[in-house]
Amino acid sequence: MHQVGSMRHPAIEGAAITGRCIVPIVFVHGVNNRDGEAYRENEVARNGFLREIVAPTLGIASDKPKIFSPYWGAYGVQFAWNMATLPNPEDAFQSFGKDPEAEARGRVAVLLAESHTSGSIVADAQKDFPAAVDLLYAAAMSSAKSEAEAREMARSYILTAAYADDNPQPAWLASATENNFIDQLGYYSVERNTQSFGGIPIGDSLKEGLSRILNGVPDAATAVAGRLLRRNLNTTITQFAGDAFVYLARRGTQAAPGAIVTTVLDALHAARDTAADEKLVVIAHSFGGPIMYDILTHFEPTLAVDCLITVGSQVGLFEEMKLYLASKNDQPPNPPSDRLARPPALKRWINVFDSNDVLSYRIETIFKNVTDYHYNTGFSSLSAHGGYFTRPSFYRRLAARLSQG
Amino acid sequence: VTLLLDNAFAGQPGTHLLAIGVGSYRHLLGGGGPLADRPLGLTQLDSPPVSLQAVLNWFLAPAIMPGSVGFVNSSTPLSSVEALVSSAGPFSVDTPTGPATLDAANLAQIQDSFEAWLGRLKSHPDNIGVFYYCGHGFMVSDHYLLAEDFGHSSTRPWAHAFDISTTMRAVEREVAGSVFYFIDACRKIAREVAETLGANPNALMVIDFKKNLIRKSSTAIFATGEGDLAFAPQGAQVSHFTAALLCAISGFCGIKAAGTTTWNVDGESIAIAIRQLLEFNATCTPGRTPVPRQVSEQSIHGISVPFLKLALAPKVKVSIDLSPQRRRALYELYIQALDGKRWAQTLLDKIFRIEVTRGFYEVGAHDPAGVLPAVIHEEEELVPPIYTLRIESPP
Repeated sequence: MHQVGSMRHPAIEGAAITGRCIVPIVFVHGVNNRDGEAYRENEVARNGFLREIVAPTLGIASDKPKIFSPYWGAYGVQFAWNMATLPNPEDAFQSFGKDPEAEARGRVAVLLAESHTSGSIVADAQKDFPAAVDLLYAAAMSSAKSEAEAREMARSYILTAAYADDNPQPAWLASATENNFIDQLGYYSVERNTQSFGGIPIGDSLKEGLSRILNGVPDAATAVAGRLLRRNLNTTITQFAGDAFVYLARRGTQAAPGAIVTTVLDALHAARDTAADEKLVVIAHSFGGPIMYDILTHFEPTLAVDCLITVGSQVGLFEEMKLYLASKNDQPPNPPSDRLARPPALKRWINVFDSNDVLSYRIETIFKNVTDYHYNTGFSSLSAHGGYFTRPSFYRRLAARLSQG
Repeated sequence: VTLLLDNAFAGQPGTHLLAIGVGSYRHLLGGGGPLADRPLGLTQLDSPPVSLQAVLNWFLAPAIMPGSVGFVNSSTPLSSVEALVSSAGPFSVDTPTGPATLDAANLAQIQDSFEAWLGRLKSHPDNIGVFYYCGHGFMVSDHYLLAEDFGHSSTRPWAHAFDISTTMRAVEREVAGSVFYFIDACRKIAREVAETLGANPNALMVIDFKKNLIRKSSTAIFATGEGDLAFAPQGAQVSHFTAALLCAISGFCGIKAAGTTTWNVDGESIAIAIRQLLEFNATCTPGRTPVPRQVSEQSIHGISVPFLKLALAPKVKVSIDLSPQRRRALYELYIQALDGKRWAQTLLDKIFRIEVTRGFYEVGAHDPAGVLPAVIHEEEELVPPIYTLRIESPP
């Protein structure tokens, strides 16, 4: 197991990236994803950061990668009584509101509740500048309206995070105010090659994020965030178990795969068809990991995958329970000293887990030739499970690991 | 000093220039004074003083050295030039009476200079006014331009700027002649300003709705469209818009006055030329940092009034390329006037660029070795300011 450190993304250090080619990225989501404003906004922000931060380390120009995000949530569990069996059923579908800004504020309120912010970005930055930058961009990311906006934010984040790492206590921070913090952050961290007779490019998005932080602190400190977290606790466990049971019961067979497997397989085939040299990168979050493992060991074991990145996933746990179609009770012969081989057509497998994430598990203890990395989302309990992709620093550290080959 | 030239003759129409360049902002990021509480992400600019100097030099050149390229209008000669600058470094400008330094472009000084300029402009019904500004700007419902002391007040954070949109409407009711505005500033929507109430910058003059519109013509050309940024190359260089403006009015636009040898340059001619030059310049900087896309916008009202009256026909920037590029060095690219005069670029792997007088030409490419087929475009009309052609060499 390795600790995910603060390795610098090669793009930050100006390292030359050669041999760029078309390598599609497939993102397989986990449980508890249902189509809606939040799902789409998460996808927009995630794609922007994958393109700008992760893709270059895979040798892909940021405007080139095709990102496939098969949505299988439609085939997940349905609750006939709308989770009426929960002890507090009124919490099941509580929401901040229907409009996108309310959704964004809701996500930021949860972020804040877990971030130990003081409510003052300047005070937070004076205490831990890189963490404040990460929180600010996470809050801004929560409402990225287009992939172009998310990508611009990601490019800005790369520069700003590097600046914060290199200058943990810049002189200007001592006299900064809440109103001019972002202006100064942009001014000192962004390199310019043209003069524009206007402000910093993503200043408005960051100020919107800051506004959510400042306005969200009362929510985070009071019952609202508590209700959101409790809702997560109740509904996430219930929906996780529900989606997993539905998958296990209806995943089908190699000859007749079920709807979830078919949805993911179709995306994998479409991605492979666009690859210049049949290279394929798959990122699987949460239960997306077990689905991918089933595909690579049973449904299509010949599907060549260049790199599989499982994040907050339960692949190892399900093998421990021998729940895969390819699982054999007598393999390996002597666990725990013996371990299983990596799926035959999978060239590289990275697994990221957070020890705070109660739904994430290691794989090095179960499989050979795989690598576990620990990433601290900064969240606790169930918030950590969904927290990886909301933290800009996650993409940066993932990119650093990938660049190590 | 603010008044660099004062040649007005009583009873004679003339052209009156007010030019402002603001590059140094005391209270914005990187400035010398206390940082504004809400600096809107705005930084110091190197370009506006340089751009202002280029504009002043262009206007004053014929007055300093007759025959130089610059402002020429026999009907409304240059009568006054007033200018303000805020610059981090020393700034002086050559005038007919020698070098002059300028007063600071703070809001109080801009207000005073505007009122003086307006007074001169109203002195004759055929006068022409020119208002040039280069510096920071932003938009909400109107377009606001920033003085050097912008950000001085934390309780009225947007004070020390002025509303040019309303000012233009007010001037239309005061001036019987014509006014040309060249506004080289951003027009990005400032959300921070939009989310406050009661602090929007004022106009330099109130609109008196009891008065009718009396102007002959009004031309406003903005460096960029609503919601967009205006740019300059990094370092102390003339901005993209001002460079295009000066090029346009230095003999790259104009319409021949029927039955005369005079070429009139009116607001529409200038506007069209600036748009095309901005686009052309953005594609003509190989090997350098890409020039950000910037499309000018214009608002033109009233009759056509010549800003310039030129004795020479306007020129055209010609750019001839050949595709596929691997064959470019195998050809001679040429342009030939109807009187037989010919210009050519032979066996070079680069775009052929030249400036010629407007008119009809034969444009083509031929292989001196006689192997590759010739391509000829006869009677091509070259209209200012730009002619670009990519010749396709047949397979």
